[in-house]
Amino acid sequence: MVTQNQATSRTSSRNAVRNSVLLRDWNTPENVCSYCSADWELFLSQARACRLAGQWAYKLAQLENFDKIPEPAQQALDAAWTAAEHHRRTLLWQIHQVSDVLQPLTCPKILLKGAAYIAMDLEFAQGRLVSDMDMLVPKAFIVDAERKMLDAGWVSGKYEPYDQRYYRQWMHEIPPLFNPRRCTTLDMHHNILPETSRRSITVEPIIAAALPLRDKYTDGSSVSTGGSVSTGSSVSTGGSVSKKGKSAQKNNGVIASTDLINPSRWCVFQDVDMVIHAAVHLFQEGEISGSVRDIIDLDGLIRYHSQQTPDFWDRLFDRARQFKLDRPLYYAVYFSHEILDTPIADTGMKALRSIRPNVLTRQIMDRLVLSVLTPPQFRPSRWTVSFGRLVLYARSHYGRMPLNLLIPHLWHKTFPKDPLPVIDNDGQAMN
Amino acid sequence: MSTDNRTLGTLSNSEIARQLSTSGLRLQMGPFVFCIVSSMPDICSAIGTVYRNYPLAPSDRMADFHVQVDFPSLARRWYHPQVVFRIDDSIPYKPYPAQAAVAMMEWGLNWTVFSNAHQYLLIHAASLEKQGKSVILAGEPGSGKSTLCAAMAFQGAEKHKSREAVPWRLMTDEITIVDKSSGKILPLARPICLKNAAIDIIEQRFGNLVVGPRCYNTAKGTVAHISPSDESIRLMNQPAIPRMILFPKYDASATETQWCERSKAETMILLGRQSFNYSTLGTAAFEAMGKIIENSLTYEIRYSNLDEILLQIDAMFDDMCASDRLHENMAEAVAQKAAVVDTVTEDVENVTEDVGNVTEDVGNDNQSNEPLFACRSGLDSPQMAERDDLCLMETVQ
Repeated sequence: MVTQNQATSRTSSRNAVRNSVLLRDWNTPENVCSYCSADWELFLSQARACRLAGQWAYKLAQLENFDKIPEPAQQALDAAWTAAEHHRRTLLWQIHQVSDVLQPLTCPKILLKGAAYIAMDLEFAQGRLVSDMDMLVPKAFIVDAERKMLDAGWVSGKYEPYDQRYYRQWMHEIPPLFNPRRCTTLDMHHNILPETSRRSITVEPIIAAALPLRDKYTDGSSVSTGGSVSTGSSVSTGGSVSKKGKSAQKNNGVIASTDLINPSRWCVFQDVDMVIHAAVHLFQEGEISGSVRDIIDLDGLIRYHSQQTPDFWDRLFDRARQFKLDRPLYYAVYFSHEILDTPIADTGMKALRSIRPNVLTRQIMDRLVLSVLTPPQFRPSRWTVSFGRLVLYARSHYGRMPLNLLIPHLWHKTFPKDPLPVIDNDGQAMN
Repeated sequence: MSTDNRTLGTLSNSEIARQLSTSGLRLQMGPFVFCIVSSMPDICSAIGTVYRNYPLAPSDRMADFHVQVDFPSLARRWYHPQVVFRIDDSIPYKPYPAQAAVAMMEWGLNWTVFSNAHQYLLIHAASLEKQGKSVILAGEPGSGKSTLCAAMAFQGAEKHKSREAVPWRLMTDEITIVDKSSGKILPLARPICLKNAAIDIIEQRFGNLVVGPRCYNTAKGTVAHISPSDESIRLMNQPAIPRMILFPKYDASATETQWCERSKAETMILLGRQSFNYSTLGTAAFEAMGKIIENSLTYEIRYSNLDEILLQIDAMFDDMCASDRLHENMAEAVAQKAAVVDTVTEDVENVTEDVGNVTEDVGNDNQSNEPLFACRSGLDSPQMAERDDLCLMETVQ
C-alpha cells in the first residue's frame, strides 16, 4: 500500500544519500577528477564530518590522474591520510601493549570492529579512523582480564557508581578502560549484545568459530588472496599508497599491520560473524551517528568476504537465523545495497527478501535511517535529522533493555543522582 | 579571476554583510581560504575593520574550510544572546555570550587550522620575518610572547616609516606553519590576539593600529584582535627560512634582559611539546623539526623591559644575518674557485686525451703493443708540459 507520494519521498531521501557528493562516486573514484571547486568544498567537508576523509584519500591516491585533483584538495587529502595513519599507528601500538598485558590469559582474545579491520589490513579500511580499540574475551575471563589491565596502569573510565552498575549488570562490556598516559580508550566486551537485550544471545559459538589473526595473513593465502578485492592483504598496503610521488602517497613507509603486532596472540571473528556483528553494531546496539562510515564498513566487509568463499551468502543468513539476528542483518544488507550498490548474489537476494519486515516498518526505517545517513551540508544537520537520530537512539535503547529498566536508566541519565545500591563485581552491594 | 588581488576593503559594508549572510565571504589567510558565514552584525563590522586589507580569494580557488559564526538558535538571538562556531559537523567550543563573538570566530578559525591542516607541521608559536629569514617565538601561555610579537611586528613598521631599520614582518602570532619538504615557514598572517593589559600597552605604544572590538570575560579575560601591517598581509604567500628560535619569558623581577642558550636537544623537546600535531605526523614531524632546529640559534630570554629585549633581538638577528651573508659570500667564492678548478681539471683531462690520441697514433705507427705506457710517457715530454701551462694560464684569466 505505497502511495505515489510516499514512493517519491522515499526515493528522494534515498537519492539524497546515494547522490551526495561524498558517496556518489565511492565505487567510481575516477569521476572525482571532474569535480568543480564547489563540489570539492562540499566533498571535503562531508568527508571530514563523516570521518571518511582518510579512506577517500587512500582511494584517490590509487588514481592514475591524481594530479588532476586541485592542489588544495590534494593537500586536504594528504592531511586526512596523515591523521588516519596516526590513528592506525596508535591503535597498533595499543594492541601490542594490550597483548603483552593479557598474554597470561589462556582464552582467545578477539579484536572487534575497526581494530580488527585495521589489524587484518583490509583494503576498505585503509585510511579508516578509529577512536577506541574494541576487543572481546569470554565472560569467564573478563574479571581477570580487567584486573590485569588495571594492574598495568589502566583506569576504569567511569567513576559514577551508577555507571559502574549499568555496565557490569546490564551491558555486554565492562566500563571502558582508559590509559592515562596515552589518553586512549579500550572497550572490553564479553558479548556482542547487552545481557538485557531483547535479542541477547549466547556468544560461545561465535567465540569458538573465531580465527587466529595469523592464519589469515602469514600463510593463510587460501583465505586472503582468493577474490578480486583481495588486494587488501598485507602485502599490497605498503606499495599502493606510495604509488606516486605526491601528497598522500608520500607515505611509502607504510608497514603491514601484522608486522607491528603479534598476530599469533589475537583472533578475529570468522567472516559471517564479522558481518553480523557490524550489522548488530549499527542497527541494534549503535546510536546511528557518524554511521555513513558504518555503512562503508558493512559494504567493504560484504564485498571482501563474499569474494573469499562461494557459500558466503547461505552461511551468512543461516548464521543470522541461528542467533535470531536476521532483522539487523536485513537492514545492514539492505541499506548497504541501497546506498552503495553492494553486490548481492541471487541466493542472498532471495534470503534477504524472505526475512524482510512488513511494509510499514520498512517505510519508517527507510525514512529514519536515510535521513540520518544524509551527509551534512557544511554545518551540523537540521532538527529533522536530529529528530530521526533521537528516534533511532530510542529504538536501539529499547532493543538494549526492557522498558522497566530503560525508563529508570534514562531517568538517571537525565537526573544523575544515585539512590540505587551499587553492586560490585561479585554481585555484593557496596556502601 | 575578476576578484584577483582585490582586498576586502574594496567591498562596501552592505556587500560584506550580504556575502556573509548568504553564500559566505571568502578570505585568503596564508595558505588557506576560509568561507565565512554569519548573520551577526558584530561579526560583520569587525570583519569589515580588522580584515580590511585581506585579499578576497580568487573565484577559481576552492575554499578549504566553510565556517559559520552565528547565534545558536533564533531564541538565542534575543534572549541572553549567544554565539557558536560551526564547521563541518562539529562545534568545537561551547556557545559563548554574543558580545564575545569576534573572539569566538578567531579561536574557531585557529581551531580549524590546527585540527585539520596535518599536511604541515604546526607549532604553537609566533614567527616574524626579516630579510627572508625568520625568528620563532615559542613559550608557555602567559610568557608574554604575544605582546613581544605584537611589539616587534608594529615597531618594525613604525621604524620603517622613518627609514631607521628594516622592519619585521609578522608571519603568525599563534600557529607557526612549517612546510615539511622545504623546512620553510609559511605565513598565516592572521590578526594578532592580545589579552588584558597587553591591549593597552600595545595600543598606547603605537598609534593608528586597526584594533577589533574588545571581548570581555572570556576564558582568557579581555581579548582584542589587531590587524597585522599591510606589508605582512601583502606578503602572506612568501615563506621564510627559520634561523632563530627564542623562548621569551616575561619576569617582572628580572633587572636586565638575560639570554641563555638552549641546546638543540632541549629545544627539540620544548618545541615538540608546543606542537599541535607532532605525534600525528610522527617521523615526518621529527625530521622537519630536526631540520629547523639544526639550522637555528636557540635561546631562552628572561626580560622585564620590552624596549631592551626588542633592541637586543634586533641586534642579534641583524648580526646573524650579516654573518650569514659573509658565509654566503665565502661559500660563493669557494664555489667559484671550485668551478675554476673544475674547468682546469677538465682541460687537463682534454689534454691528456689529446696526448693519448697522439700517442695512440704514434703507437699505431710504431705498431706498439703498449699504448697506455706510451701515453704516460707522452705527458712527461717537455712540449706537452708547456702546452699544459698555457692552458692553465688562459683559464685562470
